[in-house]
Amino acid sequence: MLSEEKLRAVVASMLELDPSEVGPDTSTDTVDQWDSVRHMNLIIALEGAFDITIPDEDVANLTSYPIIKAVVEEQLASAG
Amino acid sequence: MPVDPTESRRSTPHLDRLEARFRSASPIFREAVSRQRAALGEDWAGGFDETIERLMPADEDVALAVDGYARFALDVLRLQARFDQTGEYESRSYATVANDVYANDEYMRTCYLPGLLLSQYLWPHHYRQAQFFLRGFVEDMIRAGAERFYDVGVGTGFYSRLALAGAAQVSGRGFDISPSSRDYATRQARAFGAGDRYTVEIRDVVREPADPVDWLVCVEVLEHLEDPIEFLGALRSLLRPGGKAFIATALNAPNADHIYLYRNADEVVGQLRQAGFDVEQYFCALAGKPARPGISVAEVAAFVVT
Repeated sequence: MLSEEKLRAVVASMLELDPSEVGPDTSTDTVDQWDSVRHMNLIIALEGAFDITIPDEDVANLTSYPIIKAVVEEQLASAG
Repeated sequence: MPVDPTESRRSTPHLDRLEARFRSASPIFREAVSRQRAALGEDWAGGFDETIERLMPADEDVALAVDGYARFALDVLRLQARFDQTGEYESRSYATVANDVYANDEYMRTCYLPGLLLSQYLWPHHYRQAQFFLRGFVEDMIRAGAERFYDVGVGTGFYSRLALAGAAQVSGRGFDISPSSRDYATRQARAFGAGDRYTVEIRDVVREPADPVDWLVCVEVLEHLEDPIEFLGALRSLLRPGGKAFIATALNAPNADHIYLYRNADEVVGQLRQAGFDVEQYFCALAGKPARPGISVAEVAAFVVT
């Protein structure tokens, strides 16, 4: 079961946001500082925090909070 | 050359197409073009614009290159983070890399080659290395009236193209083990009007040596090998006495196909000397400053040797 609070905290930390700012509208369109380096730091932080592996083909597509949430949920489910 | 902040902005419609594609399809790279333009100047912008115009004339070509670059660059960032943990490249044999990368035409065409080509402009250390090649090697080729050169491990054909475009009288012969690289490099030479002065062969010069020449180019091949010393010996025998070679490699730079880890330029110099080369000039550049203390930064090291 995904802890959204934990997920928001990880996303906020990596994108230098307040956790209260992270939600359905959080995306590369709305967060100016979301660049490639922060993006990869976010991927690595998500993998570490939730003990999952995000497939290479998904890495470039995780461009909004709803997509991140869906992919993390999918990986947690497949990890069993 | 220092960037002149008062330099007027050139018209770069093709670079603008590329930047627009980054903004729409890969927004995490949306600043990639503008950041390097500010740092590297309008000559950079003009050269990049011409490359896009000649090699990616259609919007679909730009879309493929941007998507390939995004995959390529994110893969490098992920591997660099793992490298910070382990201090080693992810050990793989040459045979495995050759099969997974060089013989994988889909990966080569859609990710590796377009990603590598765009990196020649979007990664400042790659761009600065190419400038060193032009100033420290191609200008000598022009002065000496060079007639032919070899490029061993052509990759995208970028360095062959720079030599062919810079020295209008010279003919080039490239060697690579990847048919995808052969085709891409041939296309690049043709796109720059030098197709009649350039050929690429599928050939491993360690096993099948060629007649020696006076001018030799070998860019970022050493780190792809299990045994660079044997390869450098083969390179030395491709160079005539009195000839000149440009040999470049990557340090602390994990990539899908990097096997041999050089941690500093002195290690490369030692191997070059062991193979019988004398270093005449060298150039090193970091990819950037570390994001935080203790984080590794990839580096290029290029040598003009005799």
